[in-house]
Parts: sequence; structure tokens; C-alpha cells
Amino acid sequence: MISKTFDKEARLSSLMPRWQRLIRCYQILLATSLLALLLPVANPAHAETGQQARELFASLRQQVHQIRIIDIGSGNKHVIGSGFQVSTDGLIATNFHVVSDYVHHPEKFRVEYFNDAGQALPVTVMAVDVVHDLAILRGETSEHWFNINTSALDKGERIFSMGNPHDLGMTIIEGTYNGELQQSRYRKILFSGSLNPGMSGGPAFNGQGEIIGVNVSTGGDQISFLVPAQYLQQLLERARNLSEPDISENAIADSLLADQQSFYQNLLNGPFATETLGQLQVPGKLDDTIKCWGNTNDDRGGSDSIDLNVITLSCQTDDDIFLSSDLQTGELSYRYHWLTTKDLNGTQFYSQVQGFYRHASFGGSREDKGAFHCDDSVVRLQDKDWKVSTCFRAYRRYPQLLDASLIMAAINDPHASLVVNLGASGISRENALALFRRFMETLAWKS
Amino acid sequence: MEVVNTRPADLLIRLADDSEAIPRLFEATESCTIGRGYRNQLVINDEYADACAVQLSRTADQQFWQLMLVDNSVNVRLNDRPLEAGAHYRIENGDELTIGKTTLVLIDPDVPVAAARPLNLHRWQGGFLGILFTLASLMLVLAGFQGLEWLLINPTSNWRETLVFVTAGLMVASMWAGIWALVGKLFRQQAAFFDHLLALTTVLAITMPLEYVPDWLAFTTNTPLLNRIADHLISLLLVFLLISKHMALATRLKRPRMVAAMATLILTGILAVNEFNSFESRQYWPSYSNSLAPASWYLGPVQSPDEYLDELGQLLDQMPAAADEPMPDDTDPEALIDMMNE
Repeated sequence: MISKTFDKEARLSSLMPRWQRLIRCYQILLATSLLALLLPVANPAHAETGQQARELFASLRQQVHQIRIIDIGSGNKHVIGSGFQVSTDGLIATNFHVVSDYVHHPEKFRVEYFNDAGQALPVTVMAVDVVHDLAILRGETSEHWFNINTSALDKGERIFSMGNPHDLGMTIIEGTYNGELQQSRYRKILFSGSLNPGMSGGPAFNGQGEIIGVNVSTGGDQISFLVPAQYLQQLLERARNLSEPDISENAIADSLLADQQSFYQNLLNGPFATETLGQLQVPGKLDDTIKCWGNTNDDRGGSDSIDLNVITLSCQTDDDIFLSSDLQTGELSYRYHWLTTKDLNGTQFYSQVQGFYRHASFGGSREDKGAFHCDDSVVRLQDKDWKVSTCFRAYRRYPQLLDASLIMAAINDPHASLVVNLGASGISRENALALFRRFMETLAWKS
Repeated sequence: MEVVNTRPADLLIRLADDSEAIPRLFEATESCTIGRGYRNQLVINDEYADACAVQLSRTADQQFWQLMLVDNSVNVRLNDRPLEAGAHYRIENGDELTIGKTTLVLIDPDVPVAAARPLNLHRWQGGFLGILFTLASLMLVLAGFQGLEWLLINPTSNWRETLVFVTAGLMVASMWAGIWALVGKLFRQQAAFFDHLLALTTVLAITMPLEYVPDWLAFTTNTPLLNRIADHLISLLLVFLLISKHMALATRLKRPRMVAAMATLILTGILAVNEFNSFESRQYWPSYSNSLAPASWYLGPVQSPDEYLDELGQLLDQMPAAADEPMPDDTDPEALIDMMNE
């Protein structure tokens, strides 16, 4: 009987028009999807977390605010972010990038925070840490504030974050702690949760409501980054001792200078790791915070393609320091192109090599940086001639820092050349010269 | 002047440097205009001659031939002396009349002359072969330029690309010569299309190979400024040669080279002002010599790393503080465009 029914159904199925079969397939898929959606709801663990998030949001919402940078000219919001109370005497933590426009142009903007009660209150920027993208503001005293917990977390531990994404209202999100970034110049916590614009400067906390980090940026698709609470603690201690705001350009310049000094001292004091590229030894991955990528592009294929083989090694630091929407600094990048040819003559070959011999333009507008100053020469390294060009560009607000770019091209061999492009932003002149020297000393032709 | 023609007589005109040319006979009852335009009784093929330079006519008493400048014509001399506009000059046997670069001898018709080629009345001196030569020369120049590009820069170009380049170049050159021919038709009543095409070919043949000089200079001297200057000088040479050639062919200017030099000078001034104005904005892009060539081409000094780094140290010492540099002018449209590009 069962088999007969089956046979009948099978026969009917085969007789069904194609569109009816498609509808049936969709019905099955829909039912399965609904079942899958219902499963987590029924999961006790999810129910528990949901309950915890509800409780945390209810208890913490009073100490999380929206930070607003108001354009004085129009009287309207210019930038929004989030912030949170970290003391009873009115200190509020947020990101530096939330308040950077105000710090650079206090004549154009003012800062206020919008609390849970719907009040817009004035606030003063007391201290900033541009290197770790943090700022401390002073607002009204509050009875509600966060404790900071700098103790280590376990990977996979559930953490929460609050903020006001896209000005849609205060929200809480949950995610997991995934440790600190290993290959980053500036320590950051990898948070597997969805931070969105507007949540910058908001609190990230554990199940007990203790601050473990500050929302700072997102890499998309559940990849978000937090500034570790340790840096917030340090800045908070500095801010507590301040009676007047300490956000002068000199203070920012000092921290930038100290940061680059620490990075380049560490880099230059150690031995340079080298890699083989073509017929040369070149500086390779110089630090754990530098990432290198390679590529080979053999263009000798078609009859109308140029006989040029290009091997590229490209290395750079993975993160930078945000100073303003136009100005990020603190990057180091170096790239090598090993170019060879069989059939091109000398002038043809170097005409092609010329395309790789270009200075980095860096970022920053004219309001941030001065004019370029360049010097060209031919330098002999180990009996080989290199055409070299160096350009410097100083920062207007931080005169001890500059962008430095060195390009070099080996010009002895009419069929093979190496082009080096080295660029460092926000570097001191001494470190720039020392870095260039080390690169020149390390480049070596294989015997 | 001594009067030789004491009777109403005909007038023979022949070329001074071509005794074999058949002289042109004008009867006593005729009058004669001489110039480059086709409507003249005597057409001379001289790019420096005016469309209608002089008029020859009989004196009121019909005794003599006399000569008068037409429309303030330039480049006309009688016996190597300039003529005044509006004045009449009586013609004597053997007088030499120079119009542009052509010298004619005005002679008594009784003087025997040898029979030979007709006097210089054709419109295009080169004939059909000359046209072919001009076109072939232009194509050769364009193909040569493509060949240089192939030899020095990019070896991937093939005969198809060369053909397209030459054809396109030929079309553009024809349009260019055509425009000047129209100008010539307007001012000199003579189009001289192929003369203009030949002039353009000559100028291109001179200046095209020079296009590579700035890059070569940039590499051999490592001086971006020299590169820019050389670049501008070659452009100015091109402008000067083109203007002087085309002006001489198409207009009635007295001194076309002088005019071309003036135009070039004005252009130099405009370029200099533009360079000066864009100097500030150019500083916001790295300005360096990016030409590369084999080391054997390099003529400057070779430094050791220490010398070069010392030089960089000095550059840094001399760099003005960025804060002292002028801030961009928000009202300057050029500066705004630069800022947008940044």
C-alpha cells in the first residue's frame, strides 16, 4: 500500500508541471529555514544571553551617551559618536576621532553630549591620546559610571558593546572576545560583533558591566576592534590630575614624536631581516607589526605584450594614527619591484622601469602639510649605480614630524633592475635619515 | 633716372636670375599688376610676395612706364631701394624690381632674349611630383616618429598601429594645412595648401626628434627644472617655426619671422606667468626627475651613500618650517581644484 502510494506520488510528481515542482521546493526550503530560525530561540543559552543583555542595557543605559560635535555656523550636528561615564565627577571617555574636528578647530565647533534622559549638555575635552584614539571629556557629575577592568580575558568570552549607530538610538550588541591583534603596531582587541558608525567611543564591557575596551573601528562582517581598557586607564589617570584641558598641538606632537621614536628605535636598533629578490638581498619583514605580500607578473605571454617580468614584494604597517578625516599618519611602507627582460633594449627597458619609479604622495591636505622638498642623485652602492630620489614634506602643526619618501632604481644592467619605494609618514628627520641609511646599507647584490 | 624709353613702347619683364625664362611682354596699351595672387597679370610664385604688390602703368603723357605700390605692399624694392606708398616711379630700361625674394628686370622690348621656359606662372612649384614628395615626406616623418617611439620607449607597437598613427597624422596635418590655406585665400588670394603641408612637414621633421631631449636631459643632469625648461623651449621652437612659415605663406605681413618671434615671446611670457602661478600648487606634489636610462648615459657626479645622506641632511636644515609656508588660498579656483585632487 505504501509502495503503491509512493509510486502514485512519484508518478504524479513526474507529471507535475515544472513550476509546481519549483513552488514545492521553495515550500520545503521555507519550512526548513523557519525551523532553523526557531531553534536558537528555543536554545536555553541564547535565552540566557538575551536576558543578560536586557539586564545590562537596563542598568547601564544611564551612563552611556551620544557625543555630538556641533557646527557653530549652522547649529547642527557635524559628527556623532558615543561616550560613557568613567567617574562620578563627570569624566566621559570617547574616541579621539569623534572629537578631532573640535580639537583642531575649536573656533568652528563645540562639543555636547546627549544623555539617556534626552538632555543635551555641554562638555569640555580634557585630554586626548591620539596614538590610541582616546579622549576624555568633562561633563556633569553623575551617579552612574563604569568600572574599568584591565585583567586579561579568555578568548571566546562573551562581551557586550553599547553605542548609538547611525544616530538610530542607543543599542547594545553582543559578541565574543578574540584576543589582541598580533600583527598590529597599536594593541587592539578583536571583537567579533558588529560595530557601526556612530558607536565609536562607546563602551565594551564584560558580563559584570566592567569596561574592557572602547569601541574604535570595524573591519566589516562581525570584525570589530576595541582599544584595550589599559590605555583608557592611563589617560583617565592623566585627566584626573588636570585642572585645565591639555589638548594643545604641542601635547599631541609630543605623543606622536614619542610614538614614532619608540617604533623606529626598536626597528633600527635590531638587525634587519633580509629576503632574496632577484639578484639582490633586500630588507624583508622588519617587525612583527609589518605585513608583507608578494606577486609575480610575467608579461611575456602575447605577441603584443611587453617582454617584462615583474616580481613585487610589498610590506607595510597595518595601522595608522587618525589625526583628522584628511590626515592619518604613522605608516611605514616599502615596496620592491624586481624587473627583468630578455628582448628589450636598454632605453626600452628603462622606459618601462620608469613607470615604477614614483614617489608616494601620502595623504593630507595643504592645510595639514607644507610643500614637498626633493633631491635627486645617482649613488654608488657596492660598485653598482642607483638613481635615487628623496622627498620630504613637513607637518604644519607638528613641525618635528615629516613625511619621507625614498625611491631607488638600479641602472647598471640594461636587462634587470630593482626599484625600491620606501615611504614613512609622521617620522622625525633623524629617524628618516637613519632608516634610509639602513636600507641603503642592507641592499646587496648577490655575488 | 635716365630715360631710355623715349617712345610709347611695350615692356618686357623677365626674371633677373633666369635669363632663359621667356620674358612677359606687356603692350603699351596695357597696364599690369604683379603679385602672388592669381588675378594679377603677372603672377609670381614667392611666398614673401604680396598678393598684389605693384602696378605698372603708362604715365599720363603715355610716354613712359611707371610703377606704383599697391595697398602698402611690403618687400618691394626698385634697384635695391625701398619704395614709398602712393608714389609713382618711372621705369627705365634695366631697372631691377624686387618683390619678396623675386627680382624682375624691366627691359626694353627691343633687346633680344633667348627663348626658353615660360615665366613663372604656375601655382604650385613642385608640380604633381612635388605633391607626392610632400605627402611621402609627411608620412615618413610620422612613421619616423613612431619608429623612434618603438626604438626608445615601447617595442610592442606593430605595423597596424603605425598605419593608424600615420593615417591619423596625415588627416590632422591636412586639416591644419587646410585651415591655413583658408587664411591664405582670405589674405593673399592664394590657398597654397601643399606649401602649408610642406611647411608643417619640415617643422615636424625638425622638432619631433627633439621631443626626447627633455627626458634625456632630466636623466643626464638629474634636474627637473632643466627638463621643464627644455620642454618649453622645444614647444616655443615649434611655435616659432610654424607661425613664421604659415604666416609668410598665408598673410601679407611684412616681416613674418619678426611676427613669429613676437608671438613666441608673448607665449613665453604666458608660459612664464603660468609657471609662476602654478609654482605653489606644484610644490604640493613631489617634483623630481623620474627619467630612467642606462647608467652610461648619466653625465653628473656619482655620490657615495654618505655624501648623499649628508646632502639630505642639508636639505632638511634648509627646509622652511611648514607653518611658515602660505596657507592655500580658498578663493583661488586653481588652488581649489588642486585641493580637490588631493
